[in-house]
Amino acid sequence: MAFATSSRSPTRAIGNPSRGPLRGMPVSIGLCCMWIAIVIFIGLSATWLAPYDYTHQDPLARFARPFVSAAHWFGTDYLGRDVVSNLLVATQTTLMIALAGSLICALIGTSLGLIAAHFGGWMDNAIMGFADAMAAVPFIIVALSVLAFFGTSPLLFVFLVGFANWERYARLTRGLVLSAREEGYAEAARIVGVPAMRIYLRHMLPNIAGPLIVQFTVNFPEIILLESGLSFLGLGIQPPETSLGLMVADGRTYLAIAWWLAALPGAVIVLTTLSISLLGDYLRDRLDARLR
Amino acid sequence: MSAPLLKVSGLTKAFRHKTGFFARPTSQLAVNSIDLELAPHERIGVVGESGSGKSTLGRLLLGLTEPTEGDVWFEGVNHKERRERDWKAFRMRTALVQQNPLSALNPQMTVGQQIAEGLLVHHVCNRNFAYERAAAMLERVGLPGAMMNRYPHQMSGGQRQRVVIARALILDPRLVVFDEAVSALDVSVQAQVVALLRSLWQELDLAYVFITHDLRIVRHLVDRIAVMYLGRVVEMGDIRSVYAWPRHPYTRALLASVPSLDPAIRNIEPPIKGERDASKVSTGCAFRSRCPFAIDRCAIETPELRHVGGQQVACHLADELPKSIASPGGTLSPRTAVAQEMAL
Amino acid sequence: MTAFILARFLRAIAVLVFTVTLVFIVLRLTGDPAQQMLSDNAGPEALAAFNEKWGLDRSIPEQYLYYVVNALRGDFGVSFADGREVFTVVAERIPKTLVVTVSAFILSLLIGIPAGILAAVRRETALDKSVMAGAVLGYSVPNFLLGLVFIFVFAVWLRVLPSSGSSTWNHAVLPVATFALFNAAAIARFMRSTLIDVLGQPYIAAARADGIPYWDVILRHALPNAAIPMVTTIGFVAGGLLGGSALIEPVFAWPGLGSGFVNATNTGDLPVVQAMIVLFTAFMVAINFSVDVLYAVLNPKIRKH
Repeated sequence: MAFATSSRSPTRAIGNPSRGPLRGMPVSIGLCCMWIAIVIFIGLSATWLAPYDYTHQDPLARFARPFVSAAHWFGTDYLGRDVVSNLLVATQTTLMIALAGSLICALIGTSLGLIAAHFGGWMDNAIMGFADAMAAVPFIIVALSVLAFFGTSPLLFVFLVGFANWERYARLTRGLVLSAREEGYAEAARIVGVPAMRIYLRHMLPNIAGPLIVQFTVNFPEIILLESGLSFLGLGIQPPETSLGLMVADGRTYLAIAWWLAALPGAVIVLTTLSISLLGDYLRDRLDARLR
Repeated sequence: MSAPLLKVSGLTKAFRHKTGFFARPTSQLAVNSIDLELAPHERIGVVGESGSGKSTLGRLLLGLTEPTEGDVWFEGVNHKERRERDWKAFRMRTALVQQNPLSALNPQMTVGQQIAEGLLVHHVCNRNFAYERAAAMLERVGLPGAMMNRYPHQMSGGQRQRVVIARALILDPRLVVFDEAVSALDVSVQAQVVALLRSLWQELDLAYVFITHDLRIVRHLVDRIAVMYLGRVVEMGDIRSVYAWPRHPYTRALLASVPSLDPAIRNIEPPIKGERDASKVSTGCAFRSRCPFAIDRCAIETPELRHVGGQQVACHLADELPKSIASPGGTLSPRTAVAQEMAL
Repeated sequence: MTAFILARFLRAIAVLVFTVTLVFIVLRLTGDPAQQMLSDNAGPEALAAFNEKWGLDRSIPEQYLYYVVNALRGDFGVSFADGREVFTVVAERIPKTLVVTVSAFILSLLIGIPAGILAAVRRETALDKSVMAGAVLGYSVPNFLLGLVFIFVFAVWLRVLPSSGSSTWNHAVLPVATFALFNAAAIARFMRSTLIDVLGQPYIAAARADGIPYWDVILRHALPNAAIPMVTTIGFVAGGLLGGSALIEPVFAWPGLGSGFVNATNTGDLPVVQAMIVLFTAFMVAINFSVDVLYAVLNPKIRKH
């Protein structure tokens, strides 16, 4: 693995490049980071930030237009609920589900990839065969089938979302581990008598973390899209809970008279996925530069 | 002589090759029925071209690959009889120093962490004491103890190799296998590392297996030498007697190709011809297709190692080939005539 | 090559059998199939008829046999929603989905491939940058959201196209556009990066050094080599059409397989769901098999064998 020869730990280099912390970072990436920071902040504190209870209905103030009233910055919806409050809580929900899903996905994928690499043989074939099969079918179809048979429940939904694209982590991890195993340091650790688990976690993982983190930045926005897609279809988050996809689905009915109901949550989705994708691309380019 | 530290008998390792989907797998012997003994505190050099099987032999000795046939005993225990716990004990008493010190060190861990790790995973001592011992070992191999907190990329090649050596010695092993340990270093650095290895051997109760293609280095470092060709040991014996009178044509050719050795040998010894070809040789001497002295018998009968002079040689003609290869002023020996014929 | 294709064909069949078996197992595990598969108001004689037909009074292996035979005949029972044969319900949706997906697929190839080639050849130009920007948007914007934007712009604001339904050709314009734009973005992006890779190879430099005209080098030397990885990507896009239809068709109330699948999932219409799973699997298997065959035909390394 070329990472072994990189002059610096890739993970550390991301946050703190050797030549000044922000030097050479394009403005667009700075903006992406800013947006991501805002979204994370919302995710942590939406309930305190929300000016109203997001379920609070005000029948006298239905379809208030956005940007005109200080009481409802982003207007109100068809039940007179405050859009700002709904948006904050929905962003939080979507973010939490995407985060939990991404972590589950990374955990399942890296573990299975590691198991495949460690045991080899029929175990390797079985796991990789399963991965190939998963990759061949659009995950939304698999998700719909599962939801059809087992119904929707929040827990099932999180795990289902977390099951999307695990095969990418598995393939990546397997490849990285197989090549890291050929590195002298892994063999040296084996000869010293370091237990296999410790070799994988303490010796290899830091060396292969870079590509896995990049994979995470690719996967995270996709999971946000999957969550909003399923919620949009009415198969994900169920009312009274709310999520960005569900808000878009609600707003869709009133597209002709209240465009903001679908547009605002839609914009949050797009800005978030776009920011993470661009940041991921940027990180990958920087890592690639280190590989050369 | 005391009981051997390491004993190898009939050690064979076959690698399977598959040339095409429907082709029958062919196997090639990387290591072919090798017998070897190593006393405690003894140093042996294993030399040969790349592909001679010397690295595979090293890995077999340390139990890193399973032999196809044959046995390895370390301190009287056969590898095949070792259980999980015995392997752990074995790992503490043996060590490997690898070829490329940059890839042999983990780029993500400090030098100190890597040296101390052996002590920690075997619970030899607590963390603080482990780091103290690691620092002491670092100083013992000639590096300042303050380098403990450095990462490998912050060091020079020679310093890294010293770190690898320190890591190998931290558990106080009885046997260290060096696999082309100094080949990648600059010549000046090589000399320093060789001097270090000599002084370490004098002070510690260590046995060395020194695997290399470089005949200049082993000369100053080992007591005995084993020359390998296509998986077999073709000549083995005391380093001085082998260098003074190489008996096997392959050893003679190898020594002749070393620039710094006796100029009388150089240039006159017939060059070995052709390419190494393991696949065609099934019976007889593997070296015969390249040997300038080959006779009919070499194609029929595989030569076994036998005592000739001060060493063991696997060559039918070992005691017929004269020691002296014509000195510059002397008469032309029959072999040099052959050599000149071949050169034409 | 025959051996290769035969092996792939057998694998395709194996995947299909596996899926059908999996659906069977899940159905048996989740409860009494008769109660699950029949609507709540089914009478006892309907239950008995159901059990008889699917061999539910027999042993599990026999049940499985009945199930497979019925599945092979396309008989998946009766839809809860309207009591019609599942086969008819599903079959009448197939052409609707085909119209949208096939035309969108062709359109996206016609846009994506030339755009990707031009972007790769004219790097760092406005065209290249817009292809890249489009590609980034393509994987950041949810396809259902783009559909809503189209509805807002063309149906609500400009009032030039209908927003939902399928009664005229005009109704197909927006779904096709949504589909095609997404796939074109993905295809253009892969085409660009693949071609840039190929153009960096030594044999391209050699061909150019030989004095072969630039576009000749691109068309005769670079593109055939770029075609092999592109087949995989295009196959992936084709396979994704069904996944996309599940999200895009509901936006436009387009009565194809995708919205049918979503409806059946939402209402728990299991007979329809399982028929669609088998149909989708068959589609995916067919796509992957064609990609494999095409790959073998294009790739001289396999072709020679």
